[in-house]
Amino acid sequence: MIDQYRHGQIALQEALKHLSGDPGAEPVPSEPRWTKERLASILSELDTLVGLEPVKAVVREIFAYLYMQERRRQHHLQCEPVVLHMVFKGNPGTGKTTVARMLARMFHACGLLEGGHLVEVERADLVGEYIGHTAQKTREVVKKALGGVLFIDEAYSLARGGEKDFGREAIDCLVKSMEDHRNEFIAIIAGYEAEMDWFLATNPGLPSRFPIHITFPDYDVSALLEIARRTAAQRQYRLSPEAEVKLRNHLEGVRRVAPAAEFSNARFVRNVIEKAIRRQALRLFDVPRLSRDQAMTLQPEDFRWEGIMP
Amino acid sequence: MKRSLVIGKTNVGKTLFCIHFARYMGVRELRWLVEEADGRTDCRVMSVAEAEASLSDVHPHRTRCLQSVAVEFPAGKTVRQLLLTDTTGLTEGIHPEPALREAMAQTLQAMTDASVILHMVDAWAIGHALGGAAGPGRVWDALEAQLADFGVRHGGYVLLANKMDLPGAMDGYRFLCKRYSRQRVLPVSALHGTGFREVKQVVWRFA
Repeated sequence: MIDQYRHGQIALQEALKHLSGDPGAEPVPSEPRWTKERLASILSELDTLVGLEPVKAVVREIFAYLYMQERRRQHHLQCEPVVLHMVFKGNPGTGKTTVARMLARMFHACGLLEGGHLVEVERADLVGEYIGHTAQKTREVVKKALGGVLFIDEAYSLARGGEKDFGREAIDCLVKSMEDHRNEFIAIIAGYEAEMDWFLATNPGLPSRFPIHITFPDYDVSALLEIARRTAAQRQYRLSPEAEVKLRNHLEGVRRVAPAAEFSNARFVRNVIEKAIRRQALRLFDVPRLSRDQAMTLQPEDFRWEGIMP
Repeated sequence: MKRSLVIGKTNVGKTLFCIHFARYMGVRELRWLVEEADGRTDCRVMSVAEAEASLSDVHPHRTRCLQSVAVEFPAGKTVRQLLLTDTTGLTEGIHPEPALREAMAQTLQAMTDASVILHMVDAWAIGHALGGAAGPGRVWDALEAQLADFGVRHGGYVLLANKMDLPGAMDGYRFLCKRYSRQRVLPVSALHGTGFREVKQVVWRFA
């Protein structure tokens, strides 16, 4: 024990406890609870996402910080309590919900969250219809989220109704719950960048309670094409080279025409692939003998954009 | 020769107590046996005035090794000797400086072998903390409590309430007497030499 103190592995009080023969003295862990390998394996899930490099960088930073806190704790150095409530800013379909769900699993794998589930809510799930109803609904939602992540999509809509709107009550109740159940859940509020900045400015207590801000950039055309390939591959389909060219040309056109805030990014691509799969089924309906390759390949004629919102 | 070890946190007056207690016991020329943390030993001879000037300091961790002086206790027709050992002040947690950790580890090692442990505490600081409505952890922190716990289990343990010459120290002394009612708590002033007679009466039995 004295040697362990000499080498800076345990605190003086711990060494003294053992010298006193205190039966209550706990054995000193020599290795941190988190290993680098375990962390790398947890973070590898992030690499399955296409693009989102700035988001991945922030998430790696958060996990490196958590790992460092653990290592500092081993050396009995001061460790600040980790506040992980976050703001996700970005246009639709940029991966906010997907990353939130992934983070819940990752924090659970690290032992930070007991459940690791994601409770996804919006204004209607929090705001009630009569006085007192809002606080009750918000508390119930928070209760469900304990041990996991509470994801509030389009959170800015809570502050839109003006002074007398029940949305304000929901914010106050949420802030109180975040204090009451500190470390028991992680709240993530999400929405368009400009609207979220406005939302945070409406309540002076909010910015300090959400210390982590992650901005989700729009996907570029190459990333959208990669998402299309992966979405198809997940369902055991592939795009023919001609189909890829057609899709690329269309995506470039849409990106030029549609305003950034109205383009639904990955969600649009997923919808396009799903429609193409249905169109392929229709095209091959009357083909008597189907090869494996035919059954798997999406051709340019399967890609039609009518009825799909950009 | 048996060893009486003076332990405690930094700046509680351990070194000054050793110098003045040795003088009280009739030592005019201090022959210090210095045991460095790396195992080297040395002998330094100095007067009481020189020792006061060079060994004691208001800055923490002036002492970074074990330094002992032999004091004699008359026992009937014979004289018994006891090594009075000054130690490095202890601090909570893990000290960032390896040399100081080494020195504190040396103090811990010496605690396991000593015949007498004189645990010196700053009674004035305790009294001051009591007056400031501080929480119990501030008045008597975990390190002091663990040192006392070790001493009580070890045997030959004496709690020295130092700095009794300062105002408010009496409150600290009363606190210690109440908390450690079954232990010997002796009020002393290492600076002025008060309370040394009582310390001598207790310590000589172990020589």
